[in-house]
Amino acid sequence: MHEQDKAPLAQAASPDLAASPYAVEMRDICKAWPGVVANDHVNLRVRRGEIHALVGENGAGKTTLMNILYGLVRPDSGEIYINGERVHISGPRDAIRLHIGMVHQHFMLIPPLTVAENIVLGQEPGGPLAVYDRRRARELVLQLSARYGLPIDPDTRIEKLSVGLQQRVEILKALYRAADILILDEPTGVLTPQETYELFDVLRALSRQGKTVIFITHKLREVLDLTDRVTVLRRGRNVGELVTREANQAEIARLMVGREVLLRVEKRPARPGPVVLRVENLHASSDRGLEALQGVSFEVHAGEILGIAGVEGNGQSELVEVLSGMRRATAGRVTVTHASGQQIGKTYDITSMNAREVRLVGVAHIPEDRRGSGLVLSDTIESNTILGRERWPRFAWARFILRLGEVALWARRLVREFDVRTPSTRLPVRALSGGNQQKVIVAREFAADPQLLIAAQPTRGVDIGAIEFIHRRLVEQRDAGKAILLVSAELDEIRSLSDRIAVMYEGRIVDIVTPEASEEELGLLMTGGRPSGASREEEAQTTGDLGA
Amino acid sequence: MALQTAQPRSPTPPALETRSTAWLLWLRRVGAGLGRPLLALLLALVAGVIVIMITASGSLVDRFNASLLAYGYLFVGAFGNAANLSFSLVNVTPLIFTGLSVAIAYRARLFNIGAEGQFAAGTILAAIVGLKCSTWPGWLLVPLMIVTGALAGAVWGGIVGLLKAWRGAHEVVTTIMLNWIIFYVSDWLVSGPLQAPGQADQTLSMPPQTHLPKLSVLYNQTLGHFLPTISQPEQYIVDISFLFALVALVAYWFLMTRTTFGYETRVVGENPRAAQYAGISVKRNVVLVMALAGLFAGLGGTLQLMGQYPYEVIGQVFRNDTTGFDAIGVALLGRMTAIGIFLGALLFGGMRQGGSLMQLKANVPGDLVYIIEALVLFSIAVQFLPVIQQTIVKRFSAARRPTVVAALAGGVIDLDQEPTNGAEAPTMNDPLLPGTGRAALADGQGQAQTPAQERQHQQNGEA
Repeated sequence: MHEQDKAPLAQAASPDLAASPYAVEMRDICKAWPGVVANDHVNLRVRRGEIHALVGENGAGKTTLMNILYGLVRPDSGEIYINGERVHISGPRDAIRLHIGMVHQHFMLIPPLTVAENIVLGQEPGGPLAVYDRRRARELVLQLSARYGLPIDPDTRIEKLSVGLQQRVEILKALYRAADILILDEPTGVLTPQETYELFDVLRALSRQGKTVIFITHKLREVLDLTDRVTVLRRGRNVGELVTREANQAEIARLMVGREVLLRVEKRPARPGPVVLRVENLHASSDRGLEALQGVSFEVHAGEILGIAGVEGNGQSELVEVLSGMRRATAGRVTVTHASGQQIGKTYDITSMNAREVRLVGVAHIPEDRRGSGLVLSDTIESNTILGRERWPRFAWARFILRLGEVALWARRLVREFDVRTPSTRLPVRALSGGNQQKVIVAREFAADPQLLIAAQPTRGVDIGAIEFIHRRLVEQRDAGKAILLVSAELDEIRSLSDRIAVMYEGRIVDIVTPEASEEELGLLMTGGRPSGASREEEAQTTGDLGA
Repeated sequence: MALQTAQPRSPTPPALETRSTAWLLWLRRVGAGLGRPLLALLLALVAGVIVIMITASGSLVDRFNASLLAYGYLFVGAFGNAANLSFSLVNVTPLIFTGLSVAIAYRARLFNIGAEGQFAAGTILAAIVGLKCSTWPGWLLVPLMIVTGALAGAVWGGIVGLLKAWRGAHEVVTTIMLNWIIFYVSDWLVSGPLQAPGQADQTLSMPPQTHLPKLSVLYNQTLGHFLPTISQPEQYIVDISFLFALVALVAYWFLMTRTTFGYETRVVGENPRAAQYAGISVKRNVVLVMALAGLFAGLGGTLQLMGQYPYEVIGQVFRNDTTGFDAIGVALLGRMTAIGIFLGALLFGGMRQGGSLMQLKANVPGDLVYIIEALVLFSIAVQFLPVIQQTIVKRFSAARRPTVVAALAGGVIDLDQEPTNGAEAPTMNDPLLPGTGRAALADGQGQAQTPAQERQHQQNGEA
């Protein structure tokens, strides 16, 4: 439907370029890094005005291919055609001249500068004597934002903007440089569901205006919701080019992973045991001194997964930090009771323990920000597999002298059992892909045989194969009698994994529901409403308001 | 046959790479560790040649010969014979201790500018003990002085750590302040309470029972019974504190790479958030690390006081002494590794010694040594070496990528031929690279990283 709508528009926008239907054509692109072939004779054809998904697991070569298109990486061989014309792109400058724009996964913005300043940066409108013309910049940005229907305040500083709006600035930045072809590298990884919907609206609008969008992702729902056609890569090679509306999720997933993928988590009904984690009337402040937790109480039993749902920023992060010993509670009580092992039945008050002590009591923690706090990126995989447990007798004599041989064995075992793809455990973690970095953390925390496992955003930014893997392991741990607290911004993840769902809103648990609760019901709880009197229309209204 | 043409196209399974990759990694690490300091030294020496050629007289050839002669004497003066070497090692010993002090702090990403102050604190406190208890027997007084000096340094460094941990005071500021405090305190002590009667600003000599034996003398007394003895051992002035320095190097290596303390310090330095996540107390570690840094420096000061003539503290000596500051260079040059610090100290200490002979024999001002030292540090600090390296890499990879050459030429000249033989074909057809084998290709790919990756790697290496 999209395609038929857009085809005439695209031609109207550039009638002389109609010779080739493709805005971008990459032929036989090869690129090898030492030990890895990132792109192996990859072809990509993107029609003018379409939204084209480029999907594949982490390490499939999507980003490399797009970096080649944007001139950040030079291909070993291959040809690139833009609007049917052979081009050579030796740097982003060339790409911009060819009207290619890229929105990176990690934003390239300068936080203390304003929106307008960031957008015009590098191509500032100048007055006489090359003085920066602030007013003109403002005008240009306002024009741009009106033209593409991307409202934004040009005078706000970037640091004050939400992630979604920052991304909007990145898109405007590309449009300011007259981009006709927009590359978005995993744009939804950092967005809340609402922001994602907004982004999709924006992209659809852009595509209606004749822009070509290349959308890198590994979330299949997004592919189906948004895009016109899909190119699937696996291990650096083309494995499929599909028309989205003729494809289904399972088919794309199979192409990506190379085998049948279980999109739904298979699990037996939970057999909850005794209470392991008990949280009573917990209060805590955020970094900014606001009261982030206002009397949170709940329990997690052995052998069950309790999911915490909620729009990000409603106290979930602080809750996890308090439970894992990284943040002090201002009031309330947290206890952990062992449900198995040698200390069965023993209860510990962990309210005022630090992270090390909490870990000793049998709590494992997969942090939400793996690069920020879960790993030391410059250190080796080996070292990272003992982070937080480096003084355990298993790894150190007298808590002081490291048993490096033991650590090496341990690391190799984890890498093998958790399928971390790496040539060596002595490599810095930085060298691993995002999914494999996450696997290192998951391996480390699972392998410690905890009583309670706190998993915060365990699959954020991780590819589909790794997601499946992590989900399966979580359920395995549950069936092994561990108590699991799962915090995730992905409602799908919460719903498919959890045995009970606690919804957080403004520092409180508003309700605890079963996973059978409808998405609408959960959505309403997440925004502070009560589901009883809500109808579908009202729900739609709410989403619409947020989108505007 | 069909199988063979297909071979290069398939990505190599990682499992097969393990051995060679690990080896390559190791080689790369060694290369990065050794290569850059050596390159920095080389550049400094080349710049030194230019300086000498400017100042010397005669024809160009004469001037060039003069510079080579100067370097010759510099080397001979530093390491040319046993006596000179022993003089050099006297300089090297305190440099190792203070270099370790800087390095240990840097492991937690703290800049210890205060090694000289901690060095002074150790010296002066040990001197007080030595003078006040001068009648005590050596077996008691020697350990007492060493322990006091080390602890004094540790306290002086620990103050910095405490201020950093609890008040957030920047260590660069506090170390510089504390340096001057201890300089003035020691000046006051030397010209007041501790002043030797009837002398200028200096203390009495330390009691003779505390003087550390010369290394050569010790050798004659122990191994010399079985092996050939050293004649005239007194001329080789290096004392046994050099052995202490070697032990300190090993202790540092062990502490940093083999203990939970070193591990946790690394985590604190590299990622404080991860330290918090792991339950490692950042504050506690900062205090401990700074105290340990001070301990090493204080030990260095004490041992120099006890090991070398004139065995006394002289007025205003510390503020004119550059050991604690050269130590920053030593640590940087040594990339914070034990072996690197040893080599760096050897270089700096040796040059100090060799400079005088160079001045004497080659008639080149001894200050040249300082110029070279400064240039070495400069080229490391400014990090223009990575830039040069990158440029070279870029040139190379550009030459090996025909598409890019075409792009630079402006037009759309198709130098590419259809890849006929899998992934490696383009390079085999490359006109700029006739007849190079696959090894060269592999090498080229090894270097052809993106600038971003390269930078990342360097930052990584710098750590």
